[in-house]
Order: sequence, then structure tokens, then C-alpha cells
Amino acid sequence: MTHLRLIFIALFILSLAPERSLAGQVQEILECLEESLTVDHDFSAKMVMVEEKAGQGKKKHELVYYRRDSDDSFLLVATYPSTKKGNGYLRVGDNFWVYRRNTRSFQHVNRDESVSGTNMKLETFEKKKLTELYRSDKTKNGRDLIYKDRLGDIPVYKFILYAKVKDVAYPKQIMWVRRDNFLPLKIEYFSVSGTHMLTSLYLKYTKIKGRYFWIKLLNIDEFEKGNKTVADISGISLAPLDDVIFTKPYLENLSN
Amino acid sequence: MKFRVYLLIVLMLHGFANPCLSRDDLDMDNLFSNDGFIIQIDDLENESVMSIINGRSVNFSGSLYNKSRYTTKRSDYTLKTIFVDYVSQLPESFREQNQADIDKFKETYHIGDDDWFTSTMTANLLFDIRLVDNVRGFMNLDAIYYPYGFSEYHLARDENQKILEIEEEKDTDLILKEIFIDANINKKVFLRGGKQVLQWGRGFFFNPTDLINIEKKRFLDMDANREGTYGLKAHVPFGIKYNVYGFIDLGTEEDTDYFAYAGKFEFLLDKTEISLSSWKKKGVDPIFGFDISTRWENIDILGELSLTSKETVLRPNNDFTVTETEDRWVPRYSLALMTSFDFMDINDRITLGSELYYNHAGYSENIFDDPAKVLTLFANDLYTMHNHSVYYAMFFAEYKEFFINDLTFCLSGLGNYTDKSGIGMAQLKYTPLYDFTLECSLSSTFGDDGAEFTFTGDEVSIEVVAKILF
Repeated sequence: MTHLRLIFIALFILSLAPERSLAGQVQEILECLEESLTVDHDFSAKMVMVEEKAGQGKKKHELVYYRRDSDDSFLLVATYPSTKKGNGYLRVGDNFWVYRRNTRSFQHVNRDESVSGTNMKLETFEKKKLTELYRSDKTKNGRDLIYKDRLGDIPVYKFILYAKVKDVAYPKQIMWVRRDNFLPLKIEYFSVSGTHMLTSLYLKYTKIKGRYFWIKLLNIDEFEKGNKTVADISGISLAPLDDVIFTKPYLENLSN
Repeated sequence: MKFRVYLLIVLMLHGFANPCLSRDDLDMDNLFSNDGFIIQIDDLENESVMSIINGRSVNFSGSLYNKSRYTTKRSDYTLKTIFVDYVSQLPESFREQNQADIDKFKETYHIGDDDWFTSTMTANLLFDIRLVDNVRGFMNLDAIYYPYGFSEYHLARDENQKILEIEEEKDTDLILKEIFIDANINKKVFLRGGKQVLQWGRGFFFNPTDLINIEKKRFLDMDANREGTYGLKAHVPFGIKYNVYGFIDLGTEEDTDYFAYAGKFEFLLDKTEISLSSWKKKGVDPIFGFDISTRWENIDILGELSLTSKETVLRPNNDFTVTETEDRWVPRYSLALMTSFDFMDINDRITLGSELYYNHAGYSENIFDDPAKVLTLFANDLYTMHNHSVYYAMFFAEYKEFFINDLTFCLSGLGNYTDKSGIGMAQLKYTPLYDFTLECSLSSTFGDDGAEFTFTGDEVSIEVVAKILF
């Protein structure tokens, strides 16, 4: 009986610890993740977002997406519906601008700006900068907390990240990344008060010149139940992008 | 029994200690699988972006909205006094000769009316015609229906070749807000020729460096489409860091003496954008501009400054004459601050902003309490709304998801510090459906009778707007 008690005490202590605690690995995982998701090649693509709001049904948005990771640039321009055609988001270096066609003005914005009024944020479309923007959750003795888990039949690492800077959409996220290639599969976002706000599910990826890029993303609004957005990327072209694409007049010209 | 108790305790504590590891609500087995997780790029739909962006197309879009407004009048106000004390005492012959102007003025400001109501239906129509290589044409047209009619005045000659002003009652109006053609030289120089609205200056509401756009922002509808200026714009980008703009304002007269010329150099320093600009017209001293937009912590900072070495200023006298004076070194500047913050878990739920404006050439005394001066001011077209006195201030506050998801509440105010008058507005914006919005706003002027925001006599207004986008 004493042995049995000891076994259960040991089980109990083990159960309080993370499923599997791996010290000091979150930084390495994030670095690998950033490397796998940094596309060393210009590309352009078409994006269709279907937004679903409780009580309002579905709305389709179409955008074109240009991205150049070598200088941290991207351009997103709405092409459908007509009411939003030409509204665009330009990022070059550390600057984000939104172009609003009704006032014909460029406005500096942050990476938490929503895209076409959906729950997709601009930070989803930039080159991943997790090591710069977030720090991992630590144990009392300063070691990273990381867990082994599974999503479907895919083995994953799971860890918590806290924002180091204010310029992020959410201050806390729980991330599930594949163990084999470090691709993010699922991210839960939390507000300052700890409320679960959004879940992002990266359902499909493609490979561009040996690097990965998501092509199907589902964002589920956990705060306003019933709201979600699905984004699908297609028509990927690897043709080099003209420098002029990442300038203000180019975006202004595409606008209504 | 003890075994079960241990087991139960272990399971319960496991759940409390590791909430992050609790069961996921979604069926991840169906969502995530190694099968079909990586899609080969060649297997994707291959409609290229270039065919979307660079293809020939003709697009038609716009909005349709109804705007209805009910306004109460003050019991006494300057314009009413003008019509009672001055216009009624004018010689009969003079009054007859200027009756059309007098009627137009009375109609514009609803003089003599008690409370008044107006309603319009507007179709804002946008036509976008695209060829290849970023060459395109664009037209923005407002077609407005006035159910209660309005008067339009134009000149004609009678049989004796005498010029007459003819009043015509109409119930529809067309306003061509913008019409232009875009072209480029090898995608290095971007040209836009025609009637167009330009971004010249960065302020929210006050733009002292903007000497180009003829229609200024309207406080009660700051995001409204504005009417463009006819001219030719050239924009030369040097990456994102440097932009050079040139604009020739071709004016409204068929005489090159009326043309105005403007240039702007914009550059980026880290996250700060700065522009230096100048504007020149024949017979007018050049006006130089400087504007900046930057961010400190979570606060957006926008500033504008314009400066001219000499400005001719016309001031009305109380004997219906005008005095011309010359001001030296006339600065105008504005400074705006804006911040957003999270509230009850919603990102950027509350936005607060304010802007101050200093107009060196503005009136430092109140002339709206002098009916003779007001009459002279308007007769000589010397009044510019919100740019009349020396000091102005405005503020706005926006609360997103106000009780419900699709409702936004806004509060804003604009004040003339010189005569202590202003206007305040509370507004609700509701989007019950995609592309359908309802707005209800309540605005009220404040200050003594006979001040900039009270001289027309309008007191409290309630406005309802229903809008669909297509």
C-alpha cells in the first residue's frame, strides 16, 4: 500500500509539471519558425477572404498581395467588393500605411490594423518577427515553458508568448507549432485581462523556394461568437516585383 | 476506495494546474492532418495577380444615401437682424435689382424661417476605367434629389441686351466631384490630370498648408467626398523614403494669370514623415509649408505650419466699405494629437483626438455681433468657415462596439476661441448589415448670439443618414 501511495504521489507531482518541459528551446523554435517562413524571393498572390458575422451572413473580399521579405515590404490592395476597391495597406521597413480612398489620404497605422474590416490583422501578412516582438513564458527559475502536444495527427510544440512591445495586436498568445518543420498550426490570442479573443488556425501551407507560406487561414473570433474569417491564397507568382509596387503612387493609382 | 480518491485528486489538480492543456473545442483531428497539409504551388489556382491588376476593365460602384435634418432656430440672431434692419431699409430700386442675391442668401441660411427641415437623396457614382500599365480614367459624380426644391441663379439678357439674373426652381442637381486621367512615364513619374482631390497637409481637420483643395473638410461630415481642384499633378517616388510632388492648379479662369503652382518634398526619417512645400500664384507672395506626422509612445502627432512674408487682408468696416491691409510674416499652424487604447478587451476601442489651430491673419475681435460688418463680409465673399478667427480647437472621441458589436458612438466639438462660440456633436453609427449604415447625430451650437457658430441662428439639429454601398 505504501508503494502504491508513493506511486500516486509521484504521479501527482509529475502531473503538476508541464506535459514535457523543455528548457530554453522557445527562442530556438521561434528562430527556426521565422527562417522557415521567410521567403527569400519576391512573390505576388491573390487572396480571397470570406468574412462571416453572426446575424449578417457572409461577405467576400478579394485582395492582391505583394510581398518582398528582403526589405520587409508588402502591399495588400482590395479589388473586391467595389465599395472597398483600392483601399490598400503598404508596409516598408518599420512603417505601415493605410490608403483610404474616400479621403484620398495615406495614414500611418500599426500592425494591429484590421484588413478590410475583418478580424485579419496586418501583422499576419508581414514577415514573421516573433523573436523581436515576443518573449516566452518562463518557469520560476527562468527556463522556457514548452509542452509537447498533438493537433489531429500532427505532433506539435505548444508554448506561451508575451509581447515585448506595444505594437502588436494582442499581448499574449499560445502557439502550437509543428515539431518537424516548426510551422505554426494554431495560435490563440489573449487580451491584457486574459480573455481569449481570437483563434487562428493555419490549415494549409505551400512551399516557395524551400520556404513555407500559409495558403489557408481560419480566424475564429472568440469574443464575438459566430464571427470568423477564412483566407485563401492562390495564384502565387514568383516573378520579381518592380520596386515601384512598394510606393505610394502605385497604391494610389490602384484605388478608385 | 483510496485508489479512486487519489486518482480523482490527481485528475482534478492536473486540470487546475494546466488550464492551457485543457481540451480544445474544435475537432482538431478533422482540421489538422498531414494529408494535404502542404500544397504544391503548381496545384494552386493560377490566375495571376498581374491579370487582375493590369487587365482592362470598366467598373461602376458608389453609394446611395438619404440625409434628413431638422434644425431649430434661435429666437434672435445676426442674420435675422440684418434682414430686418438693413435689407428692409434699402431703397426699393436697389432691392429689386439685388432681389435674387438677397433671396439666395436668405435661402442658404434659412433666414426668417422658424425651425426648418431638409431632406435629400444622393447617389454617389464612381466610374473607374482601366487600361494596361496603370493608365486609367476615373469619375466621381454626385446626383442629388431635393424633394423640396432649390433655387439656381444664372445670368441672361433681355431683349434690350440688359443682363438679368434669372432664378430657376430645380429639384435635382449634379456635382462632378472628380474627373481625371492617370498616366505615367515608365512608372517613374505618375501623372494625374483633371479635377482631383489631393492630400496636401496631414492635419485631421485644419490644414493650413493646403492651399490647393477648394472644398475644405466639413466638421459635421469629415470623411465626406470633397470636390476636386482642376489641375495636373506629378508624383515622383524615390522608393518609400522620398516623394516629390508638383501640382499646377489650372483654376477656373481661362487665363494663365490665375494658375497657381505648388510643390512638395516629402521624406521619411525612421517613423516620422516630414514634408516641405511651397505655393505660388501671380500677384501673391509665395506661401511655404512644413508638415510632420510622427508617433510618440501611443500618441500620433500631426503638425502643419504655413508661412508667407506678405499677405493682403481685406477687413469689413461698419459703413459697408472694406479696408485693405498688408500683413507681414503671416504664420498659420495646427497641432493634432490622437491616441487609441484598448478597453474591456477590445483593441483600440476608444480613440481620443484633439487639434489646435492658430491663424495669424484671423480676426482677434468678434465681428459677427455687428450686422453691418457681417453684411459687408458676405457681400465681398470674405468669410471662410473655420478659418476666420485667430484661435480654434477641435476634439473628437470614438467608442467602438458601443453596447453592441456594430454600433459606434462619437463625440466631437469645434470651437472658436476668439468669440467663444462653437458646435458640438454626438453621433451613433450602426451597421446592421454589410454595406448598410445608419447614422443619427445630434449637434448644437453654443455661444452668445452674434458669434461665428451662432450668427446663422441654427441652434440644435438632429440628422439621420441611411446609406447603402454598392
